[in-house]
Amino acid sequence: MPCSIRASARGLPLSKGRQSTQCFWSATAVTCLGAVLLWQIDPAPVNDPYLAPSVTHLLGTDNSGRDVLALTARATVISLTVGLGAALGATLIGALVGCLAGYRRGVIDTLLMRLTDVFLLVPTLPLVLVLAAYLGPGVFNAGILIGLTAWPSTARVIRARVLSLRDSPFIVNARSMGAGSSYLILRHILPNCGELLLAKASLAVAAALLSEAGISFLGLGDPVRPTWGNMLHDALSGAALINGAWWWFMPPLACISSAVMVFHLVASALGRTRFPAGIARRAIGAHEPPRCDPPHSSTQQLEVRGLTIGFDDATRTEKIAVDALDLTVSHGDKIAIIGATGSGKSLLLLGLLGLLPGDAHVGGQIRVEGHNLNTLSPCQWRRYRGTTAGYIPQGIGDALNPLLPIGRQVAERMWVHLGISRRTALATATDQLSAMGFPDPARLARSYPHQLSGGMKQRVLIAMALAGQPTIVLADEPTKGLDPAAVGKIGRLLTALDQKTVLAVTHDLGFAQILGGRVVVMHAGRVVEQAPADLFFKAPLHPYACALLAAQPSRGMQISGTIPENRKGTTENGCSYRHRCPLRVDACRQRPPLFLYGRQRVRCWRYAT
Amino acid sequence: MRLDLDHVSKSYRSGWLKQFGRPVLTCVDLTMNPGRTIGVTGDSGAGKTTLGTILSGLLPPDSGQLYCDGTNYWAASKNTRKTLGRKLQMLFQHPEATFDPRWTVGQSLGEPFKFTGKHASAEILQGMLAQVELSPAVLTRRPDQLSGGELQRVAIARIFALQPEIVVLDEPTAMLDTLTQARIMLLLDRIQQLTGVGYILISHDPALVQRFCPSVYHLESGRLKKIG
Repeated sequence: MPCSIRASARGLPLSKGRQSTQCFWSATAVTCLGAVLLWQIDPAPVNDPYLAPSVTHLLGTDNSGRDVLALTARATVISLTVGLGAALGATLIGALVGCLAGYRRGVIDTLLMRLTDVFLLVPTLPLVLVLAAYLGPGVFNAGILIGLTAWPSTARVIRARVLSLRDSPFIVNARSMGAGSSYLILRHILPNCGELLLAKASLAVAAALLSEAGISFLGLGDPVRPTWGNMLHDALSGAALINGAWWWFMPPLACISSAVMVFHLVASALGRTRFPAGIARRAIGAHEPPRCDPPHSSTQQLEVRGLTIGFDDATRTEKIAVDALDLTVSHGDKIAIIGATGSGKSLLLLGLLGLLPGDAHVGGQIRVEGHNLNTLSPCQWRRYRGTTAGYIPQGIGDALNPLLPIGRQVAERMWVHLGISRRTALATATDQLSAMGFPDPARLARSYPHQLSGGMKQRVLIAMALAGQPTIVLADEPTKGLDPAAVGKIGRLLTALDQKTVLAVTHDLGFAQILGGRVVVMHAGRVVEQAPADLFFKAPLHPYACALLAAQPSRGMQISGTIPENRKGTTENGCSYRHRCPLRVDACRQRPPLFLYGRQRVRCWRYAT
Repeated sequence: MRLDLDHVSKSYRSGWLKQFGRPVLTCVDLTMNPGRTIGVTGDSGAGKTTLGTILSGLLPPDSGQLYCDGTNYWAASKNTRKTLGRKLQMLFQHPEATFDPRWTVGQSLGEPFKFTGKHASAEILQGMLAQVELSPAVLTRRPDQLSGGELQRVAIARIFALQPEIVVLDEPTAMLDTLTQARIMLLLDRIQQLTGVGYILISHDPALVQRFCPSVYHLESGRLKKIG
């Protein structure tokens, strides 16, 4: 059995966000300190004009004999101050407008957004130029103008975020507890826009620097205070290009480009922390070196050997979510995996699909029809996911693309993976839908997800999973939120797939019963019982399985065991259920193996033979 | 508190678009006496959650009235509405979404006290957790470090800090396994015996509703009818 490989320790997305925020502030502090130091250098005209770079004047002098290095230093301070100030103003205005519009909605939203549209429509640079000419040259006038014209894009982004946050349950909940608007905005909404605001602010700095350089370069800047744009303007009017005085115009150019680049990089780093989807999902075993396993001559379709999945938690200790799991599945098996939330059921499915989160540590081996999944290349994984394994995702609400008709969504997988034309794929998709028991599949294929009920959407998802002609169907809570009639329909549909293996993770014991086949009970990352469904529902063996069954509303909702579920001590030795087990004995301090008891397998010392 | 719904209708299209939209609720009448428990079942998409949010005063109906002890909720002044609204709470289906992901459990748990003007000391918070059978260790954790069952318990503790008189339970256990579900329902039952709170249980699972509620309503194509 291969030993489990530990991936490099990675932080949680939230702490990553904190790090970036800290980076942002420390960068700001360093910049301020640098500005104070740079300001000490005095670019007074004391030398000969047009001196080439030398030891005394590292960057030479300009046409009035000022040291270019000193001039650049001072220009850097002024340019960055203007850029940061303008960006701060723009972000504040943008956040205020965005929050008000998104939170208040209605007339205020319409008015503010039309105003934003007007500002977005008017070309900013010409507007600033006209206003700058009207107000007179001056570096701080330019800063204020840039700040006043750069807010609309921030406002729009923040409004969109506030719109989605304002209806999220935790906000609705706080409102129902009696929270007022200002409290909600200041304590809940703005903090949750934080990284987005910082990212937008960083982009605004870059934009403000460019605008300021543009204005000054066109001669509308302050003639007394040097800025990067001003230096370029002076260099151009002082005939630096003709005289070949590159040392005069190259430094401000380099400063502008590098500053803009730095602020864009900061923004993109902040943007990544905001959207954790950017964190790559890693295939299971991607960190393991490829091994040359002899071809496995097994008749089993799916074999899981010692699958272990762990995560680093906040304290950097590893938390085992799936613990040395063994599972053998033959062709055509129907398996229901049941257990509490957090018992590792869904992770097992994701592991079989190679879609575990990037920070998971994975060990063990999965073989599908004799092929070791650990050795698949990303391209092979894609093929495997498209054709061998069909996944029915959890969540009837958002698993379908709302913008595409049903038929197209079902057919998509066929033309991608089966190499058939779109027309044939669409026709096959209609057949597939009629096999799902829809009376009018042609019409359904043309309709959109919002026109369907929950049960219909779930059946469409099954049709999508079956579109790639998979041999294994993996379903994650396929009956969540459905009424009993719909549950029965879905259960019978999945049971009727004779040729295909079905693995369904579920909370719904009624559904597990309809599915027939085999029941696998998981507790704290381990399989505690495996039994044929008919036997299991008549006579469960493991105390946890008995408790699960007895707690069904239809069986009287009895509760066995005393201590409520707390932090699961998965790494400890001994039976994972022993703290709550009403039947525990001393032997439970040791970890029980899976005992064979008739046709059932159970991980409990009471069945030791 | 006695709660009455009088001919309530709701549709999610507004303005002149309304004539094209399918109404979610049509002429719903419901009376809820103090301390009682009623159940509402219905298929997914039948408008159960909409009914729940209207009952808890979070969403104004298009037409019809919501009366709390005879007071017309949406016609009342803002202050009256705030006082009444505090007595009407809702327990949501996805406990993980009802917590600000940036706050610790302790911060979230202390939130209701900010609105009642009381001070939430560590002892009070621990007492609240003890009521829902959780250890004080969860106070410093963040929502993503707790299981669904634990979070739902914290949510229950937070709601009862406001001493509500009616709590709308919107699929409180849909995400949980049967054992955790039974534990949560038992906990809710015990709190009801202690405080005399009234429950409106919304669920797609008829067995659960039958088990928990003496009177059951069924919501189908926007209409509510009593089935038990």
